[in-house]
Amino acid sequence: MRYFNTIRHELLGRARGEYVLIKDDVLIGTWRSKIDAINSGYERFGNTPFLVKKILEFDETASFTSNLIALT
Amino acid sequence: MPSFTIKIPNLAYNGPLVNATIALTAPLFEAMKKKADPIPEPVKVMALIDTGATSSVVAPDVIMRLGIFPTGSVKVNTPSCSGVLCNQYTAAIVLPNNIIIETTNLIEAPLQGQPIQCLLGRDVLSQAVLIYNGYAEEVTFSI
Repeated sequence: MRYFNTIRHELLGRARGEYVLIKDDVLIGTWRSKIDAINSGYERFGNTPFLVKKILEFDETASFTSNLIALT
Repeated sequence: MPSFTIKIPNLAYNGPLVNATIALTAPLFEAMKKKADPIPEPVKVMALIDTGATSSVVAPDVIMRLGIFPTGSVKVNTPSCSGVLCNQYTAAIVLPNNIIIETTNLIEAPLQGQPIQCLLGRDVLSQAVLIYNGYAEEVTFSI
């Protein structure tokens, strides 16, 4: 996420709304569809951690109305 | 239209509970097979259908047993916390009658208060029709 934030502004200029694939602080590319970016990550790197993120000014959040999730 | 209907005693109290299985997506399965990685067994969970959840959630031990790695991250807001960064995973959720729904938004987070290991959120419901029949204590799910 830290690396994504350093290149977010540059990405916004050329691929706003698309999905970026980052592996070990290396920008692999951008895709129009999230699932295509993820599957490309699987093809290249297999079952290893990588980041696929939508290129927006602000990150989307996930909201939960119940307290079933035990986060503090 | 593939669907299932389940009768849940005391539905109002227990909520719409459903047996589900969390599994690899086909592209990850193929990638692991190609690299001759050991293929993990799918993990059975008790899930609660939650229309108040943006995304589906699984408990950390489910992810650990499945042995998959995150494909993203997202900040989570609940009534008791705000902006907690959580890992996101891509997985297949197998429901009764072999209904398979893939999600790229599966969040890993601890669950409390009920004997469940999974919340089925609106990322799953966006691909389905859900009928909550309170009078009959039945839930019907169709894709």
